[in-house]
Amino acid sequence: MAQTPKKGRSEMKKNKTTRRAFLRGVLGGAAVTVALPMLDLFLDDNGEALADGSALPRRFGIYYWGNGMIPDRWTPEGTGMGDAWKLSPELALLEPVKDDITVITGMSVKAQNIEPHWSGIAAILSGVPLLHRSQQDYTFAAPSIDQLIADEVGKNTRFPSLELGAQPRLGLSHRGPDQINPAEDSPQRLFERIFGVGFRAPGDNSEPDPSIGWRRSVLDVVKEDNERFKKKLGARDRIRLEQHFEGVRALELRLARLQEDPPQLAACSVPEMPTSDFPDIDGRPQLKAKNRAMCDVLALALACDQTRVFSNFITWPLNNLLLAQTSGGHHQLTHDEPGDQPQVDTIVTELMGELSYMIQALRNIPEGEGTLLDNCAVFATSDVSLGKTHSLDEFPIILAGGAGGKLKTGMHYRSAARENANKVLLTLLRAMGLQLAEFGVDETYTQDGLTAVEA
Amino acid sequence: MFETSSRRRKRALESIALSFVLFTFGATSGCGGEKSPEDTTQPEAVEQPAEADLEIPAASVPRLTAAQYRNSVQDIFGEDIITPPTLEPDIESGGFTAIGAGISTVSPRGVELYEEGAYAISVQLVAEDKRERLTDCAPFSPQDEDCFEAIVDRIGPRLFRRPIGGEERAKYVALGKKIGGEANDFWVGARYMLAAMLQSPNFLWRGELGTPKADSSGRRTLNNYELASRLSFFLWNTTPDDALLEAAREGELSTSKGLEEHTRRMLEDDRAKVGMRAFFSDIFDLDALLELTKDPTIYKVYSPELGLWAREQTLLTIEDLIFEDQDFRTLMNTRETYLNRKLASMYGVVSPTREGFARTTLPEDSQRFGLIGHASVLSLYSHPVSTSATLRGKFIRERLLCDIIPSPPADVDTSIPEPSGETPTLRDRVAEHLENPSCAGCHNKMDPIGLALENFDGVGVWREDDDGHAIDPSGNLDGEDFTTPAELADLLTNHPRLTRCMVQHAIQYSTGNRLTPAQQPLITYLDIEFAASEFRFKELIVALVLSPIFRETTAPSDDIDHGADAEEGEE
Repeated sequence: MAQTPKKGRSEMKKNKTTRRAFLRGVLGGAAVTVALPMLDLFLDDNGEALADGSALPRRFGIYYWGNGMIPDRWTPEGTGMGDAWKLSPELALLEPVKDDITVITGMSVKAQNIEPHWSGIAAILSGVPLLHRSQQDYTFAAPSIDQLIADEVGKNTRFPSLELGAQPRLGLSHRGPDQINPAEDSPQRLFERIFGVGFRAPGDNSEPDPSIGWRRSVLDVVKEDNERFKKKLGARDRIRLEQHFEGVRALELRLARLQEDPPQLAACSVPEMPTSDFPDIDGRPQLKAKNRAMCDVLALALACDQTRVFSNFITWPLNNLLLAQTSGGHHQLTHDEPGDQPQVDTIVTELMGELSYMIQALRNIPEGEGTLLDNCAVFATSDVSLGKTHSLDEFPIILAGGAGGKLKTGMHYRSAARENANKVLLTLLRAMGLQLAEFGVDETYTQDGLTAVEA
Repeated sequence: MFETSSRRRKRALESIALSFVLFTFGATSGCGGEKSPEDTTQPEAVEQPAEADLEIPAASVPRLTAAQYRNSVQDIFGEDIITPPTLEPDIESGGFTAIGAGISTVSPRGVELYEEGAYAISVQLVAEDKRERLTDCAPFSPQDEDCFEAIVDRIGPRLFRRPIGGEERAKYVALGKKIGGEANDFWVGARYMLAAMLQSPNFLWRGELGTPKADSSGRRTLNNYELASRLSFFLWNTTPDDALLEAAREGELSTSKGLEEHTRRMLEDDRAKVGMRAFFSDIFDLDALLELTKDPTIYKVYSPELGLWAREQTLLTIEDLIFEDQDFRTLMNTRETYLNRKLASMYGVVSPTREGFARTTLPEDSQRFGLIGHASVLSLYSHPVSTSATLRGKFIRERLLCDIIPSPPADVDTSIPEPSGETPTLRDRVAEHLENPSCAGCHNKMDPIGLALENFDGVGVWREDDDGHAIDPSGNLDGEDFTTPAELADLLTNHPRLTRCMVQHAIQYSTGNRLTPAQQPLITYLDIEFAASEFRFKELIVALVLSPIFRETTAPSDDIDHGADAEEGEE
């Protein structure tokens, strides 16, 4: 897909009267016209804050891929900033964004490795060891960090968080034990969800749809039913259903917000609607095409402040997908490919290419004096390091974006002492504004962030 | 009425005794090198556990699965109603969706999808050509109270699977009137009123909780409506039909006679096929076949529809056994199956039909017997590019025999060698699994069984050898030797844990609960009935439904008792 070059402010001002995007609403067939925003109103004179004085919002995102990497092919040579280090073979496709990323190697996920793949994922995404109730019955013990962050920064956006992926299965974003936020795996549905009915772009001065008020009345009645229904339940079911009912309340609040004026953000425009869902070809997923279509929609969703938290689960843990023209399923290859595992290597390299695309998509959105990426903290990781042994040492971690000045970029940090990976999580949480003194439990517990990567 | 001769029952009890002994010692613990069970040559007959001693599964409060939501909407409003293409996905627990429904919740996205779906459905229903499904009442104003009431009275009990009380009804009518008035259109009001009901927890969640029994045993009895709901979702995977709701209204489901009558009525209906398909798809994970991918350069017969067709073969075969009242154990070694042209050509047999599927008998010289000869399980439990003795063996152990296989130790190198001069066949290559002490404990339970099927390649096509190397399918299943896939099939047919496992699946699926070791007597209780009926699956269902396992629940351990509440609209 076309990547729009960075534009200066004057260029965009020129364009505002010559381009229009039209969006046809689905409900009732009513047409909704979206005009380009008027740039000058939004930013203060320095371009470093919103016109109303509030800071440019910080965003957080996860990029997750299944089945790990090969440490010998992954770990960069040299450590430090800038030219002090070089990209490794598996990271070669991140060349265009080398100055925007921080590669962290040598960290260990400290949780006990009881359940292959799953012990790693639970610990790296939630900071807490996997909850193992009985054989084949396990789940996250605590929310994944994207949800902790969404609770902190997601209250004022239309979507507290967005989950997506080319091949996510359900995805790994958890609100709690057994509570998954299912990831969207269709570029078209992702587009519809964000930019379909209910989207109001900056400059949209039309009267809010009366049906919004009616939908709120309906939700009031549903909320009453929810409260009544809850009363008959035992404590455990009550907690479970409460998650549902909380979602209904949140939806009602979002509708209320829809009746107010839309946010004024410079770079917001409606993306092209994806024309395909990219079905498999000969049993092979169209991973790149699908991922890129979704990243394009995601970048504009962030630009339009529809959400500030996202997670991209490009492939699921233990997936056996036929990727990158290989002769075997990914998971099978990690265990059965002999020697240096060149096919596994190819897959990982390609997955890092897709990370590179996503980072570039964020960087292509101008914001203030810089880009959207400057105000992001992206956390890229997997469920294990070496797939063959399900190792939790040398854990793959890449950060991208400066998080509004909180994180260094362009760095390779290598831990000399197999430090606790939770330090990275604590750094990320603090960068996103959570005032936490500690993170994790038992063997994953830490009070320290990874100060070397903090700005 | 279901009769059992005392002689049949005694024989059944003896065979159950053997399986009970083996099960208790053999299956529930891990693989760590324990000995095979003591061979008690003449086990004592096992008593059927007393009802009072049964530990009844707790009420699980499942959310409607996506299929149940769609089926319910179409059964209530009409098959031509288009249901939402995307809904909150079903969650699995331990690999089972029915159990997952009892631990799932609804994500924020799910809430959005239910809201969207409610409007997408209701807009169809208020269209001029479909309004009569809601009511015959012709509204004379946008706020015609009588007409709103008429809609709630007709649709409410079907959506909520119970009568609607006065206060509840008034609330919905008030909503309809408010919006009808603001929109100046009765049918807009009706639409939003329906949308509220479609998002109600009374529709989306199944609160089959029961009321505590007076005997303070901790057990609770399901009322007629709760029974109707549980029965309907089990047998038909949909909401109760009008006849069942009527029976509930008349209190017929409180008696064994009434309950059995309706159970048998529903089993004779075509919709039971839908229900049984949902059950077997869950316990054998057959829906994963809809996404079956194989490398087409290795498997030239592969096409994207293969998974769908393979699934269809298996479901049709199972349907036959159930609805023709066959001995269900013969699923493991029957020669009868259903094929279409594609599968027939893959199996190297004459196709019984030009189009679609038809019943056929596999030829005398075929080595394909029963379920383990179906392309469905052979391809599903394989890799995209090769077979897998471990996956196939694991399926047989876990889904057919209900044995528990723990996960591999996390930090171990699990690679097996590539085919080579020294290790040409899969048997040679997995030898490491079986020789290394830390692997053998568990792999001994799986690999030898899976290796028996090596003549069936990764999509289930028969091959005489593995790339020129001889295949040795012999092995041992729990103390019994076999030399061919056919012999393995026979051993499975007569395996003591086969029917117990089926019973366990039926209890877990219908109650939405995973059974604990303490609940083994539940399985024994029904396995005896199953055996006494000569393993006719419909009879197992009837026995289960008539038992306290189905008709009662217990409160979850952290429950706060609400049995005294007079819930509006309920008995």
